[in-house]
Amino acid sequence: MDIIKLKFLFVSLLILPLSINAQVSIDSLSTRGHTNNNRFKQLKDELATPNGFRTASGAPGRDYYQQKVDYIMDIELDDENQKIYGKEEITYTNNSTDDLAYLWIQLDQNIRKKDAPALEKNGEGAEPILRVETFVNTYFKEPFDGGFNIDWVKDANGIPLRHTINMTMMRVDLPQPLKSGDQFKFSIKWWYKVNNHIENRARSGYEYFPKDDNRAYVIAQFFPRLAVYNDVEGWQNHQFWGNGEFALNFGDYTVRLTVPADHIVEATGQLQNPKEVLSRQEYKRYREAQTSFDKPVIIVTQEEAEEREKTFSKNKKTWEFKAKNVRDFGFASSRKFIWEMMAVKLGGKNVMAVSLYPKEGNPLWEQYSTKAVVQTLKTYSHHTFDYPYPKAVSVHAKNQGMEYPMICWNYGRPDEDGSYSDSVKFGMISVIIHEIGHNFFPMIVNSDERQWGWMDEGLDTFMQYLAEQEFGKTHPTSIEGLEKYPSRRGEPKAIVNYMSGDQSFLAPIMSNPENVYQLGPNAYGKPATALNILRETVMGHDLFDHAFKTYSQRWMFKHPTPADFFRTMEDASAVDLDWFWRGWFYTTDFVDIGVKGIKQFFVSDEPSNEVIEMLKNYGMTRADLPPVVFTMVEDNEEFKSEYKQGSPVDHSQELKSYIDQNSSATNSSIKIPKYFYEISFEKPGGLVMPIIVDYTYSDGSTERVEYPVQVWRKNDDEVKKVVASDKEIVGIKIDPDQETADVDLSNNSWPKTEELSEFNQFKANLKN
Amino acid sequence: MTKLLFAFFFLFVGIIPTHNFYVSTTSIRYVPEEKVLQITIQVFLDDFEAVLQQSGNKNIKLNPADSQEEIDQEVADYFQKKLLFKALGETINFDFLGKVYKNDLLVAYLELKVDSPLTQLHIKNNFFYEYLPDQKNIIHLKVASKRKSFLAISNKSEFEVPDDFFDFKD
Repeated sequence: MDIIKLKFLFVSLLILPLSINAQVSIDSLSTRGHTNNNRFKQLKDELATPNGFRTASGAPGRDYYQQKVDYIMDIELDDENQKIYGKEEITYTNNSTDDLAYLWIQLDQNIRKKDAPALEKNGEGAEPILRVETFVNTYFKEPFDGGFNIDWVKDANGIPLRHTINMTMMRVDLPQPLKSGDQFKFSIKWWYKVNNHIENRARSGYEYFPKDDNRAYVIAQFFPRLAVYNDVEGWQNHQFWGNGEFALNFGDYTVRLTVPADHIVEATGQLQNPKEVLSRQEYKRYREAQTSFDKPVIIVTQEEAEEREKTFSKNKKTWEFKAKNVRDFGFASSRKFIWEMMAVKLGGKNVMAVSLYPKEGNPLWEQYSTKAVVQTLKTYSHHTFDYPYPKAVSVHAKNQGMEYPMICWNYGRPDEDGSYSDSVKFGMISVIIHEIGHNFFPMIVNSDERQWGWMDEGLDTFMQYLAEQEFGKTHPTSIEGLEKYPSRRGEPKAIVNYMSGDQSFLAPIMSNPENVYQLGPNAYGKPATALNILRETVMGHDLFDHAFKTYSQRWMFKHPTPADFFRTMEDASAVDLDWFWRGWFYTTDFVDIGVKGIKQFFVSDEPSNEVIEMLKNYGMTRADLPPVVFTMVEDNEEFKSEYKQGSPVDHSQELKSYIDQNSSATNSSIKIPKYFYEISFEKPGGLVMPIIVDYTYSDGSTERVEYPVQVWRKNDDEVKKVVASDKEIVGIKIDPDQETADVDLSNNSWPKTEELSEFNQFKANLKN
Repeated sequence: MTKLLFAFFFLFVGIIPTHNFYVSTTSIRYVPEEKVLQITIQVFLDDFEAVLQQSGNKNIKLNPADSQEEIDQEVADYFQKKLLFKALGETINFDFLGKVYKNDLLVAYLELKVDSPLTQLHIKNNFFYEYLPDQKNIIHLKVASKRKSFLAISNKSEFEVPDDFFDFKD
């Protein structure tokens, strides 16, 4: 037999299953080709071409730039009439490579104008049932008429600048184009009516306390802020419609806040004049707190706050704050605030962990708020970079959680009698961790929230999960009776309900926050779970943690895009994750992998009809073959029961002589397995994932095997693996620890075990 | 709390309020061999507590530490009022089996018995609209490997399951 033929045969022996398939498909030869729709196709078409601004490795490039915007502001809060007046002086530094003819400014407050288009953005029509007051408020009353009143816009010489307002955006036309590298100084004077944030569930506003006739203000998005200009969007002047949050520039802030003299104020930045605005005793405690590392120092006690809220000073005080390299500014102000702080050591620096809350937050807030702040700073710093700001403040606001640099608003209020349920307690701790955590994403790793909600919410929710679990360990009494902290998001099985839902209500993670059906799972839960799965299952802690930290440090105080994240995670780990981003981030596919069947096969001396047929096709016979081993499955017609007897070596002369020749002293590594199995795995779900399998053997032992995700490269529906073993396989279970978010567990086991559904489990428990 | 109802509050939700959005899920599994529909309802505890308080029982607390007898009665009554199943024009009643607390969720189990094989089903879900006009209720229906979902909102809360849904094979 000639050599060429023999070679050919070897090749075909190797690829036998494929060649049979190929013959089948020739019969139904398609006349149409197709583009590359492989799930492992690289993301070249989806990601922008790397350039001097952003490199292929996912890092800022040598031409990377970002604008700098500094603000000096004088703000006055008129508590009696609930109005805010402001004058701001802006210094805009054009670090871009382009000359700018105009600047775009965000007027977020304009979403509260009574004719704001955002009020009409939904199209669900009339409700068949409404409470009377809702009906009256909706159809009989004028809506709240907020929004900015712009008094003037002037340049540094006091000359008015032409400006045009388009909904929530204002264009300021420059007298002459601002050259690359130049600065432009100008001022804006404005005022607006403050809304009740409880009534319209806003991010900013006041809560009114009828019992003592006081208000607690949590104020943000309250001043005209420069839009971002960068290399990927030009001007980010996508309007504010309510869901897509903010895209903001870094800069330095000096803010003088004038408020009623009996208010306590917290804000972004360091307080410049504590001696002036605090009482003697408050100042003394404030100083003490700076070095109190083991517990918070109460600066304003509950008794003092209760005393304060009884009277209303007509005098004013000005609190001055300075912040360096922040992307925004927020503040809280009220007579009602209790105030506490402690110091945390992070990377050789002291950071103040601060809580600010009315008595209505107690007894919950005095117990947990500052603890949650401290835990967040520690866990997040460990995974990213040491928290660079001097403080982090958690302010209690009734219904909302919202983040700003160094300060955030958090819910979690006990009932009036001071009682609270576990769900209120854990809800509060979780939201504080989440909002303080936002300091890292997006306040410092400054992604564009207007466009990509998941880049900050998803990364933050992922980190929140890690910090919550740590919190449970650091404060075991807080989770008494539970095994671990009850995180609502992060664990793979928690996202299954969402991912297996009706496709018409799902959107890929890579969607604008305005256009998704369920923002919670879409921008928070699913990306957080995806990262958790990367860390636990796909990459492992070492590779993931290094890559995640690399991303955080590369983009600290800069503006990353999704591509920068995707690329860095691969660049720093040498794990090709394009398949993962493609599936989890660009589609609404879900994971469902099942075990389809298991076949035992045996060694024989005689070829099956299938092999004989194949040989015939090549014009060959048994005699033309080199030493080979034939295998046969039990349900084959030609199968003889004697194959089952004894060792595989007994049924193949050629195998036997090979072993005899090779198993002498020179090669003792040969072990003869008793059992051969072919296991088929099916994949009804669209997502590819590694196949994690527990094989259970007749002696009760279990072996965990992980087949790499690449096993799905060439067949997206079904793959087969072979197990050779000394022991009989009696059970197979896929994803035994439920770490892949597999949506259907009913096909995960062989033999099929009827796992009691949650419903049947509940029913079974009732009977007992 | 009543001020929460201000008509357009939903515009500004996006911030991560207690749970981002107002939603419940009702998963229904039809098990023909047992002639039952197994119904699992998940609702947010804080929403549900507020709804029950507003609909009469001002002092009710959904607190796992309290005695559950009265709570179970209230919970059962609420679902009986707000969830409706009809087949061939007839209302089919269901039994409230019980409920459990899971973090910030209340999970309730209901069972509905059918005499003859289902060929048609009409579902109405009116949870919480009286309190949260923006509430969304997701209904998942499953028989054998077939799935179907509906999204109920206050002005579209009734659904006819397509007849061919019940032509299934295991």
